[in-house]
Amino acid sequence: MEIIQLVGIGIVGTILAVTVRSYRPEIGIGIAIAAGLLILSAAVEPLDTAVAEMREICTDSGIDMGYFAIILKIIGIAYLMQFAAETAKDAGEGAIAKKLEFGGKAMIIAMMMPVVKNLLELINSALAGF
Amino acid sequence: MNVELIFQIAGVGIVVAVLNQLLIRSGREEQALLTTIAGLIVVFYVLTREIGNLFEAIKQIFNL
Repeated sequence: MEIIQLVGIGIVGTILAVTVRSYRPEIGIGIAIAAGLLILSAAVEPLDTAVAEMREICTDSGIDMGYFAIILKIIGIAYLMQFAAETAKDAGEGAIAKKLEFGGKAMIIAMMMPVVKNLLELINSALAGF
Repeated sequence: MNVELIFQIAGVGIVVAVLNQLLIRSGREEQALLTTIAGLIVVFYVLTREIGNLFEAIKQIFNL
């Protein structure tokens, strides 16, 4: 019955946030953040089992764990950055949200580059014979 | 999963709003401002700990 709890948190959080926002906008944002935190915390547990399964699949199929770790890190960055950006957007700070997203993208690209380099080197070595 | 967190923060918000109105009506704008700031600090004190917990959990899962 996890899903009903999630829906309940969403509805209660929304109603309270809208109610309080008309009196104290900054505390309304606080409620929105709290509701988001609770929902994400509830999502962490199933995510954990899913990641453990994926890790198992990766070790079974003999893929380099380094690549899998990079993918995981990128997913983690996207997850956190989306939370931060949505919070900023909710508060009416679209500009800050956009910059947060940009920062996240920059980090993801920096993390991804070694893999691209490896791929290019692989292509290079494969073509070296020609 | 503790829904109490949301109710706690909403409670702080409503109390602060009422106090704010009362203080403004009785002509104490400075104290009304101070109540607002105090409420904000309380709310974010509660929130930062929860945010820290979430970040720790995510860090652990994704090995960030």
